[in-house]
Amino acid sequence: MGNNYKKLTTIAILVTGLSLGIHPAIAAGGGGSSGSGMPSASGSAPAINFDPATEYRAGIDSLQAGKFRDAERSFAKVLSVLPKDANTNHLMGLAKKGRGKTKASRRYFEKAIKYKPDFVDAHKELGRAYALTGKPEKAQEELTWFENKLSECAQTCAQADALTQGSAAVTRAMAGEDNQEKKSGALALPTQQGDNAYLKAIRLINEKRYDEALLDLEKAARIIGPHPDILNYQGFGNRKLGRFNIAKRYYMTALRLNPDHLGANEYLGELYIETGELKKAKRQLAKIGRLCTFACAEEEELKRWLLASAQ
Amino acid sequence: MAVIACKQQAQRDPDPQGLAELRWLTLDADALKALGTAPTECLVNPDDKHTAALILIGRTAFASPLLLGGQAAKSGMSCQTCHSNGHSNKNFFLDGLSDAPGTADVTSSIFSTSRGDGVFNPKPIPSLSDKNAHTRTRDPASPELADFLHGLIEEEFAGFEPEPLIFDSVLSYLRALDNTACDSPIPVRPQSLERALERMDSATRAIEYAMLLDNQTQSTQFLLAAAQVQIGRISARYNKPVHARIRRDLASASENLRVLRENIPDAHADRALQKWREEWTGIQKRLRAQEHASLFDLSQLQNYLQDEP
Ligand code: HEC
Repeated sequence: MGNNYKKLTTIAILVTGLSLGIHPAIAAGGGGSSGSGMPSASGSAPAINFDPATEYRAGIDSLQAGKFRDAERSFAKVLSVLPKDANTNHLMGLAKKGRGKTKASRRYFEKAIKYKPDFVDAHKELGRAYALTGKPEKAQEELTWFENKLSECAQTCAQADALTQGSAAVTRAMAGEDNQEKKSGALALPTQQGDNAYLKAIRLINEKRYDEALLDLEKAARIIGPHPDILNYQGFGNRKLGRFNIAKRYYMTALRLNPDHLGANEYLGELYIETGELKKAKRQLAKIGRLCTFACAEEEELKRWLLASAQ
Repeated sequence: MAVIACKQQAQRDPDPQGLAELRWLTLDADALKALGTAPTECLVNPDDKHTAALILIGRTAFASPLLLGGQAAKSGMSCQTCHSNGHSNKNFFLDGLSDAPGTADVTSSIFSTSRGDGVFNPKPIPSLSDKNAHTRTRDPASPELADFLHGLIEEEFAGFEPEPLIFDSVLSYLRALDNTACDSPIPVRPQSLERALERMDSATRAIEYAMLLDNQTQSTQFLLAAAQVQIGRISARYNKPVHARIRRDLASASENLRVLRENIPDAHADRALQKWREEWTGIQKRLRAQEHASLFDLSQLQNYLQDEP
């Protein structure tokens, strides 16, 4: 096998849930989105020999059990291969904080925000951490961020509640009243909710409601962890919204996790066609051709895209 | 290019993929029965050779995921998945698509980009060969079945419009499905290697026929891809380390069909196919010799299913 990455097919997910082991379909380790399971040697980064999503979940379990050292180890492992994963950076911050290393936690919350600028929970934690480590002016910056966001969304957007709570938490910390350790919301959610969010996102994507779909994918990603199928659809949604650079980053991360992911290879090829990079698109087609030993829909679809682009 | 790809393919050992059917098998099902047996396909004898050929083509398309589009196709699903051998797959269950075993919501936006009706309304999967259960006439003079099929493929499954030859052949196949051609009750038979090889044979004859017709480049390519999928299904049942060699042979047979596909239109395609069939005959022998250790064997299948967590 070589690649320990747990394979979930696109449909296997639809069908059976992303969280592992609830249905035999998962165990079947089917091909669907994941190609033959032979990691291709290409690509500069070394192959990943563990499943980051499993490690991510293990980290969350440790965090919830108050085993901060174990949590730190798990998140460090995920970050060693995906240093730019915002969710994992945020959780690493929480693990540091759990160990009393509030100052060290700041760096991770900062990174989480760097890679996901509107990450409400990370802004909240960063604001609190600044307040607690004697940086009131920096904490104030976070508070201002909350205020701006709240006025932007006029108290009615989907995130209004989270923003209000975040802003209150930072305010309390600045007043020296930060004592209770509230658990982050996403931590407590069972994986089934991640599956459901994912399923809902697919429906929304098919209904071309990409903005909403991305919110559900985000939710799924926070619960389930870095998973190529989720990343692939995050890429797809962003691509459909014309954000090609962001989309490409998601596809690339999906392919970092599983270089043979058929869906991500196909969609990346489609993106190249949309950005006029036909040579690269053809390279994607050739790669899918090598992966699809027994013919597959991804190859046929990308072929049609290329044909259409030539006309 | 294609030849190089072919050589590379031939050298690698494709991992066993697991049985795709497990993806949509209800947990309550007797998995051994569901994966090891199937109701007999009931087909009336065609009136003439041309219709007979169309039925072969339709039969091959019916079992090919590439007739469907989008997520369904990518998951390896085909008409055959729900309507096994033209009957109803009572064990079909897909989260988000089914509410009970043997049901599916074919207007779900999970598959469809245009017909998603926003309502979760799964319906029992009907048998297509029970005349008394038909809700759409099979009368060739009526456009009803054709309209339905277009809607099904292009809207419900978000597929591409099939080539006319393929489309008409699926219609011919649907019209030929008829329980009265079988004993009653419909015999249930093992899903043996012979059945799978017989489908392969059907596919190659369908390809031969399409090659004989003028201007059927795309239909021929479609059928060649369908044959590749069928080889993949056989390969999935040879899942043990000792099967590495036969899996390599199957992968190379499939890759050679790909080369054929990519070379079409080619004046010598029929000869190339002939050559391929000779290669396939050799592989068939080896497949038969190892069938007892494969998942076509019911006791092997049982062990495999027990090992599945
Ligand atoms: C996901 C399962 C599924 C797949 C795949 C599927 N079907 Fe069906 N099919 C159904 C269901 C469920 C119905 C009943 C729909 C209804 O009652 O509205 C149906 C109805 C039909 C009917 C109408 C039967 C009648 O009353 O005459 C035909 C014909 C048919 N399908 C053919 C096909 C063909 C051909 C394909 C492949 C292109 C296909 N189906 C793929 C589930 C499926």
